[in-house]
Amino acid sequence: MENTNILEIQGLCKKYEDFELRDVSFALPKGYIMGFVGQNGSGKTTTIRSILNMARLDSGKISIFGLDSVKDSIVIKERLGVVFDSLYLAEHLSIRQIEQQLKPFYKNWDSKEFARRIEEFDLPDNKRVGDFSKGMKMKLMIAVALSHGAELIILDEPTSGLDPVARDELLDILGEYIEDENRGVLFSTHITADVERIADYVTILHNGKVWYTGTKDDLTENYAVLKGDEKDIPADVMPKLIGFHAYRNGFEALIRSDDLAGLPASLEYEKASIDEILVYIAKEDKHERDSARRKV
Amino acid sequence: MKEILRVARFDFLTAGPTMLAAYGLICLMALVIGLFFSPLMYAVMLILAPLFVIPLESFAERSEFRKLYGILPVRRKSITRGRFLFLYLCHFVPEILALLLVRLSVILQLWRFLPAVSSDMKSIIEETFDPKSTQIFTIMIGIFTVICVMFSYMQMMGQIFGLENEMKIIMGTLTVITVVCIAFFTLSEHGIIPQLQVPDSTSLSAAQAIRFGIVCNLGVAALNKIFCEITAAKVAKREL
Repeated sequence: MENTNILEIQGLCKKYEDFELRDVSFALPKGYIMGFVGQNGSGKTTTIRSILNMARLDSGKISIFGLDSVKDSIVIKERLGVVFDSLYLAEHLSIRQIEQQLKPFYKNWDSKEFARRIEEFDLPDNKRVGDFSKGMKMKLMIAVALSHGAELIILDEPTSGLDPVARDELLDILGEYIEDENRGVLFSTHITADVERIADYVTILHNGKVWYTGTKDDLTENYAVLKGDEKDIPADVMPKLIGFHAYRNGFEALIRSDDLAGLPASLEYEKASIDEILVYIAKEDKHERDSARRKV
Repeated sequence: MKEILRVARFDFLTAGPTMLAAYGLICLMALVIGLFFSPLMYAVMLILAPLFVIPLESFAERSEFRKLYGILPVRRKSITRGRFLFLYLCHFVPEILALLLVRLSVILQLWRFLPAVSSDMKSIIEETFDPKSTQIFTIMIGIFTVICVMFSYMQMMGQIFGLENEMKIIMGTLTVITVVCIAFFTLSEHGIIPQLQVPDSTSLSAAQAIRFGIVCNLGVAALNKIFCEITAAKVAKREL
């Protein structure tokens, strides 16, 4: 049977002195965009570096296009496009000079496509790329990725520091790119609005572990923000609350939608956004139970 | 091999655009002076060859090539090997060019057309254009050998121990060289080891000079390769 996952991570573990990725597993099917979210330091970049074979795996397996990320690294990189949060190209060179540098490395490099993208993105050829704005640098990296026929694009925090117009343009480009159903996008960010807008799948990483992986719709449907008076919470529900936070006028917490059944009518709930989910996960971690009593 | 050549080309295209114009101008000046006054002037081409190598690390750091190396479809060892090949070519090509220009200058003897040159000056210039002399040839080879080995060594140490430790590496290396030299001369002064007989470069025949040139070039290439493989083995183990 044909493998429909363009990217598959199984049991990835990676230990550093002050940080650890623990049993990270998720899969991105062909034709979809996955938002890879989590707080700063949750392990998103380490996971991406592991996918790119820039970091060594302690254990686990990463398959891209059904190939092994370590053994078949060269073949994979021919078919992979990467956009980092900052430019990785020679800042003192022009676009034309950068193309001369990169072209020989890719068998499928298409100069006409590169020229077309540069024109489409309105990037000047007579300027050093180091002098480009952040949005222009990001577009240049996208143009490079698209000019060698990348089937999977990995973006590591590409929208951080971008103005709303540039962010919108990037999301449009990714939307257009994914129209070909044999491609995929892994999009790491902590700007959850971008994920809400374009992602089909979401993986939430928290403290080096996968907290959630699945479709975006399942995520937002499976969690709700519960509000009301603390006294109304049934004793058996209390341990199920995530990121419980008591205020002067009541409490707020995240709860799984399955656990909503049978709650008293005095407790209100609403669908949780990805942003809210991330905030409550962080609160749960800090054990912030009661801000009203702490603030004297 | 193709991968290594691609990386060497990548390095040339990184440093080339900023350095080529300045280097070309200097070569042109060296050519004019070399043709009319002294072919020894072509040594400038060798001395300034590292201009293409020195800025590479700072370009790489500023432009975050660490990330680019992580996404290019090329093996980690090929990146190091490409860098050492580029470094070697940066010295080898100017060496060959300089030697050809020395030969051309000696053949053309253009100094004869210089107006109003004093006889003392004339004899000095004439000496440097002597077709039988192998002195300039051996000096060029010597400069190439010293500079290329030095930069290959610094490249190895810089990549292994980090650029931030460059000053320490230079000081450490100079200290070791000084101690070894002092020990060598002290021991040979006291007859404990035989004194080193340095051949007089002015008395070398053409055949001897060519042999000297071949041995030096092969030696430099071998040392470059050894430094390269040591560096590649160390660097490939690191994460990007």
